[in-house]
Amino acid sequence: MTVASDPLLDVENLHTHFRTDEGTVRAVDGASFTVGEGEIVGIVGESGSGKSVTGRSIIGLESPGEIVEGSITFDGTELTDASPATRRRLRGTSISMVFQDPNTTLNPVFTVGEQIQESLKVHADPDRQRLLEYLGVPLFRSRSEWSGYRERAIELMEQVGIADPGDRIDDYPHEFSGGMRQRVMLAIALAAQPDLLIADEPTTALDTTTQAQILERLRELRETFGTAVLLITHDLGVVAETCDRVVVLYGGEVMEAGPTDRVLTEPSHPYTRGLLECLIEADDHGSRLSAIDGLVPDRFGSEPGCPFASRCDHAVDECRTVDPPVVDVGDDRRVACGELDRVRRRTESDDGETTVSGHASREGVVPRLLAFDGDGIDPDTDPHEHPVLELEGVSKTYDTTDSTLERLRSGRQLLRAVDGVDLAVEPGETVGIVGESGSGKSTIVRLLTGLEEPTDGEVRLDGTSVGSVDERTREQLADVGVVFQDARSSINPRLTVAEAIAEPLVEAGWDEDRRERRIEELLELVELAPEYAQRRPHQLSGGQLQRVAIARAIALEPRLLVLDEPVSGLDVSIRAKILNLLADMRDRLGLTTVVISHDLDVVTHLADRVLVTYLGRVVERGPAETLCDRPSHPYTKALYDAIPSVTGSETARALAGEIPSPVNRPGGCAFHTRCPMAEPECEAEDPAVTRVGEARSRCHFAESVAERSTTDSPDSESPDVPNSS
Amino acid sequence: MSSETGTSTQAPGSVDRSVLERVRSELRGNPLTLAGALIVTGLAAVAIVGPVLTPYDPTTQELANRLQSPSLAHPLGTDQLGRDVMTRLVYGARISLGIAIAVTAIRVVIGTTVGLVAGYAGGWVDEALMRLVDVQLAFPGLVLALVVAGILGPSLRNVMLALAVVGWATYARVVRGSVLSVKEREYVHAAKLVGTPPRRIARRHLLPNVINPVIVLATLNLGTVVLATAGLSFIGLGAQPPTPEWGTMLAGGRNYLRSAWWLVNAPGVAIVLTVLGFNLLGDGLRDLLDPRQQSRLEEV
Ligand code: SF4
Ligand code: SF4
Repeated sequence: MTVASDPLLDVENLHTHFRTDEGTVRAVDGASFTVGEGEIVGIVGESGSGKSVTGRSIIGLESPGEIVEGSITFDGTELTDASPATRRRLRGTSISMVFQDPNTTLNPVFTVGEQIQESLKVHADPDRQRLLEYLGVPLFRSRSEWSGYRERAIELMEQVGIADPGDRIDDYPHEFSGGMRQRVMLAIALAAQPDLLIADEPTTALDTTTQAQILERLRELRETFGTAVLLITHDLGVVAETCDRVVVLYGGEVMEAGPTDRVLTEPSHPYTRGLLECLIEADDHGSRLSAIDGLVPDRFGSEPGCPFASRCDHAVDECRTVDPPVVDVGDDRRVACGELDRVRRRTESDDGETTVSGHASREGVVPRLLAFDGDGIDPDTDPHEHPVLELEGVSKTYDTTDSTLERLRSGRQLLRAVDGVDLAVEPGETVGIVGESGSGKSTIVRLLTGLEEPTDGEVRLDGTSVGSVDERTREQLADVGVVFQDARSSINPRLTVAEAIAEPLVEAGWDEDRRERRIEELLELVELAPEYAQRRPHQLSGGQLQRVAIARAIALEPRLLVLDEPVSGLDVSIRAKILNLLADMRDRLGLTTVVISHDLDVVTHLADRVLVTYLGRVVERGPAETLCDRPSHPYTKALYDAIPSVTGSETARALAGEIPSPVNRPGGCAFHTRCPMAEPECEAEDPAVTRVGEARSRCHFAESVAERSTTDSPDSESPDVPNSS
Repeated sequence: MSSETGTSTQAPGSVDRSVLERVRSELRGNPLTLAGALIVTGLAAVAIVGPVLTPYDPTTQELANRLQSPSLAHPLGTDQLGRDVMTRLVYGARISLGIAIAVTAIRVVIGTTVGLVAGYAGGWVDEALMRLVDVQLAFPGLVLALVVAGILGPSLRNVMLALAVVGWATYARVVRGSVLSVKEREYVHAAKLVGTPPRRIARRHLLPNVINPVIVLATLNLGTVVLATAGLSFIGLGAQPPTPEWGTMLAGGRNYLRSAWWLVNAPGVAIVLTVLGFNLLGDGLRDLLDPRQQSRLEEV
């Protein structure tokens, strides 16, 4: 370890184990790393790699697990055998933690102000809490005691980027959006003026735009207060954006550690390489993504050997029997792999090939793109052939007035979730819809699947107007297959895999024999072994469940496949596999596809044509490449800019502000409240749709936006040139 | 933490094993649950085979043997009419458990159906049904049962009806609450999208996923119903003498508190044990069926 002075946090050979009925789970199994003062260190790994448990062990929340070995030294204090009181005092004053889900960590019955002030209070007097805590008395103190802290709380809210903190301090958590709640959590954590902030997937549940804002705050914190941050994440992009050093964890052991830019540009360990290769790069539209073989095992054995051996391409017998040595490869980098030389030689010779095959696959895709390159401008299709799906002027308005009384008093409050969307999806085409949460894209899914009926406009399948689910015929229902966002909630936990896949077949009146044969076929198609048929959802991993969901969606060979956030919440390597599977499936079965996601990477990767929605309206549409290389709407551009890039060549630029509530849609161009290019006329006048090349954009200055985007990123002209960094 | 670390390497068929495992670990880890389970099984066994084993008849009077203190021939003594208390207690278990099960079954069926319909249909149907539930919950249950039983006239059957009509509302509430959350799960949407009719959605997708709290509630309820039946019988609204019902036995014995302590203590202890047994078992089931408990393992 080369950190000159004693590091702030020193984790040595940490073992945190969970005892379950089925044996010991060795969640953390010998991890060692340090965090220096004012340093931002990232811990990355797939789910199940032990990264969260590591964070929890440091702050003393490892239960029901147990630290069985190793030491955690914080600022000279050994934490593993510290008394509960010491640990609590440290939590109140020196170490804070921010969790992934602010919905469950904020207490809904107290205002955010009270919660921040509580934290300030604890910080000022960490031992006061004790009695109340023992008695389980909820926090309740006289208001007067709070007043001194109130100002400080407002200050903190301002620091984490909450607008109008003075007005919002008395609001309850449910009155905040997800991103704002995460900021409140951050404010609570900061109230303790911690030396170390542990952030466990702080941005995973957020839109990329909000994520960029939060990450910016973390960097600022370090600049202003010298707070050290331990950032736990599965997202290498986030690490690249934020961290000075990165620790790659697998099987509870450190695989590789070192300065972020070095590790990410020249990964040494096969696992780090694998993780990096799974990422979608801007220039591999439509090509196959590479993925790490296999799955993270449920539990790692106590036998010696490299934990990654079961999935490693380079594994030799020795890897399975001897613990890999930790090799110092210079530049403060450590790698736990015994075969480094061989790995390096082999990948160097491979690298040439990979590039070649990468090109080949790109070429292979072109014909498909060309075939539909009309991109809706002049659909070059047989006039007798209808688009598979058409939306014409579709709008959906919800009445959000709470009570009859209110309705009488102040009239109705209308929420325009979707406002006049037109869309035609030609046979064989893949159309992507992208936007932040609140942009109306999920409502569009509900409308086109028939889960909801449009207030205005028409949805047509194959030229026939269709209503809601209850009004659709069996054939019309069979024509649309849907893959939902959350695999775990999209399969009934009480059914077996076969029963779940059989549902559409049962409704379509297939007999038992035929169903069985079809299920076998489908499992093969989604690359699941036949024995999975009899398993239940809780025995499957998220990626496997998503495969089951895909099998169910295509069971009746629908004309249209709707993918609603098909890979959100999946690990990179599984995400790559599912995306490959979806692309294969679509090409083999000739499916027409609509893919909805908040993740621009995913949408541009799969789709030929992309629609960008903001506050229920389509603000830009065009071919995926055009939007990616030369966005002509400031919002599209902002979405691209917010994506953290692993190469770290540019820092993600955060889009200011939050998406406004659709109840109070801003007048003129709805985007003017956040648009970096807004002019006075934007507020006054609703921009018309302008055609810029192949794209159409709803912006007064579409042309100049497109021009600027071209000059902004010089390499976007020739996407094949790798980013130089 | 995400649930990506599913138990993917388990062999098929291990579901049942893991359920058994969990039951076993709950029983091992929580002696109170074990106690509850033992009491309830014991009670059920007594109710089923007890009457066959005892040599006496619960209603035949033997005035010559009245008010005998406990002995080998009469382990719990005899009552004021010379009947064997033990025998009456055993027959009483049959009645109490029978009524408790019948009442709870009716409550569960009505409550679950109302909850399912209200939750799934939504709109004015929901509104109407839930107001009915509110009305019912606004009255103290036992008092309402008292009134109903009073109107219908004293008999065991009427007590049963009275208790059944006042107790289903809680189930309706619980079920409706769960349905509201489960019906927004994506598998329900998926089922709708393939044209599954509402009745099948309710049966296949909603019911199995909302039934756990109902089972817990029903177990806890069995105890309260035993108590309520005894209570109503005690004040003369339920079982009529000479039926060997615990409440009636209490009522009959209360005049002999000083001279024959066993008369009231025997049924009293029986009632306490029964209620205790069901409560302990219910608490254990709650731990066992609580989804949070289940996911704790998966989270690791
Ligand atoms: S030690 Fe062996 S198995 Fe482990 S990463 Fe290196 S080559 Fe692969
Ligand atoms: S019209 Fe104005 S506010 Fe709207 S996107 Fe264009 S520049 Fe921005």
